[in-house]
Amino acid sequence: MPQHQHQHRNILEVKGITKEYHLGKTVIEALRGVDFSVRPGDFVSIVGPSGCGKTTLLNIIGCIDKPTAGTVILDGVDVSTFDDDREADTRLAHIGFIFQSFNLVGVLDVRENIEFPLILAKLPKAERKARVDYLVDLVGLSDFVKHKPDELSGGQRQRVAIARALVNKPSLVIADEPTANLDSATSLVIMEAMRRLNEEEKVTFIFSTHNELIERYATRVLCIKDGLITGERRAGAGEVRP
Amino acid sequence: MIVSLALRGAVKHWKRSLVTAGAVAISCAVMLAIGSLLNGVNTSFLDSVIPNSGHIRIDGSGSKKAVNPLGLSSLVVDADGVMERIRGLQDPRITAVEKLLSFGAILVEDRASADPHNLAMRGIGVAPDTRFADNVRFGLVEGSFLPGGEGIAISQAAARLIGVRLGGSILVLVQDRSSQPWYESLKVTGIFRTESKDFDETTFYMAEPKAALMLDASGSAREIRLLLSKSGDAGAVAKAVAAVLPAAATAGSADLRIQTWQEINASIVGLLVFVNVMLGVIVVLFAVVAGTIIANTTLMSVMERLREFGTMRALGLRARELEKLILLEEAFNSLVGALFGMILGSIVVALLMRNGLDLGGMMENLGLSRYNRPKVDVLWYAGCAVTSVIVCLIATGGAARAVGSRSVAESLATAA
Repeated sequence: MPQHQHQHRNILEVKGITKEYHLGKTVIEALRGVDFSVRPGDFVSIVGPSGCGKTTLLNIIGCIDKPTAGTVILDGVDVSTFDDDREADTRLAHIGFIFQSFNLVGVLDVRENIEFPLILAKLPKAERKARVDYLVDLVGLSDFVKHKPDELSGGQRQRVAIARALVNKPSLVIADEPTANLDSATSLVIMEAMRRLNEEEKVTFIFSTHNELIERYATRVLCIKDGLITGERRAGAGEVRP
Repeated sequence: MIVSLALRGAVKHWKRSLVTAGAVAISCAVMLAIGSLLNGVNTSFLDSVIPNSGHIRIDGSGSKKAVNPLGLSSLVVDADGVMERIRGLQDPRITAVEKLLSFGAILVEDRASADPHNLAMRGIGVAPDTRFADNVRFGLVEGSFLPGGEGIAISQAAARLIGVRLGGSILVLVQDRSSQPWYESLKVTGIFRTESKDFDETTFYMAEPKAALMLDASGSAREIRLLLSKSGDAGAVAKAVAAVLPAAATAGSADLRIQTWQEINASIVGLLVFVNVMLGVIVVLFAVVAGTIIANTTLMSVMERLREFGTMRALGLRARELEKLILLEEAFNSLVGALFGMILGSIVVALLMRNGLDLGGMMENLGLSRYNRPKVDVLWYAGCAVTSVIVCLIATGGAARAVGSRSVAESLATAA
């Protein structure tokens, strides 16, 4: 779905999300009532120490985990009650994922990795080709389309993952610590690429990090600690943008 | 893409694929070899025992209780009349009706000697153009089978024991119906060798009219044999024959016994059923073992690849589609395995066909060849391949469901 159709409402509304894990008789509260919303074009960073619930929150927003309580409204639809198949369809149509460890499919080359979601969406071949060509060019990997993931550097792999996340024109791209496995220089290149896509393609990003240098790229920073959002900082006061 | 993905997955994880394909190949080869052996045993029974015993046998009921099964007191005295009645049925299912006259005899070396070699044997008088005695007629190594109704056909073993060659003479000593001794010098016109040593050392053949003359039993027979176009018709034809026998009985055969090939060979049929069941159990056991190996291998393989599968699901692949992908990958492995299994099985079958499988003297005692040669059936080939693939897919189903039912978050959290 093109981003400009959502200019006047929130893309994402998270209301009272809690998540409990049961380890024997012990109950661990990963999230204890999280509320926030995201508008189209936001470049949101979720920051906090390890184990504070960042990944759990992103998983719930991304329909790959279910909350214990609360609702997640994506593009105006409550997705927190969806069954497995509707969750899969929602992920395919509305959400792009960028993982810390890239998570590319090892047996597919760069082009095929990027094309994979389009095949699941049953797009015609000509449309798939045009879309993949555009994204490969956008992330600067035109010379590597036939390479397998293990023939690429970490930064190149993450750029493939970014292209794959964008290929279905999602409403929201979720990136869980996208630079955690990259060196500092490559991390900045990846963040620049994401910010450029945010500004030029109007792609909405939510990413988690515990790297202060990376968090400074965000237009909004949500601080999370012990399963609760403890504060928010916005760009504009010269505080968060580099 | 899914097909390509499955194929590439199978190639990339080639070690696991090899284990799966190997298990499928071995189970397929075993099924093929055992099935062909079973087919060989069953065919051997139908091809060798039935042509020798006939589909239906009519003999005097007294022969069952006779102390000497080769004695002449229990003959069918009006065998010609009985045969006429049967031919009168004009039943198209009956392809041959013959009488046989078996008797005890001593074969003696026919040359001047102080201590001539001799051998107590069972003689069988048959029509020179008999449809029975396939093992002898097709087992001739020298001469021909009773040419012009003359001479005697003995085995190589008997010829060696007596000390006679083709064209040589043998004295055949018998006791006729009135217990008078009788002998006749007969020329050896045929020397045979069957796969049964026991049969070879105890049995010789001569023309039935000549045997009847020697035994003073013209018109009589030990038994009348019927050959049918289909083995399955034996019961129905036996009933039809029984309906015409009372009239024949008034002509002199008061107590006749009719037996189908299943009744004649009851012990062999029972043994064959047992062998079939036992080999069937072995086949099933192999399939279960192969299935268990495949299930474990697949489960280990998919558990190692949980994050890969979790990623695919995160990108929008449904759980059911993921299960199909895993099944498809294993289907490739099983097809390769089945192909190699058929090749491996064919090699084993070819070796067994060349050398035969020695099933021991027990088979000879039952009138079967001790060397079983497998018989290949195209349908069985296809069945083995399909069964192997199905076993593989069933075994894989559990692993596929285990991955499909796992949450995406859990799969993604797995270490690569």
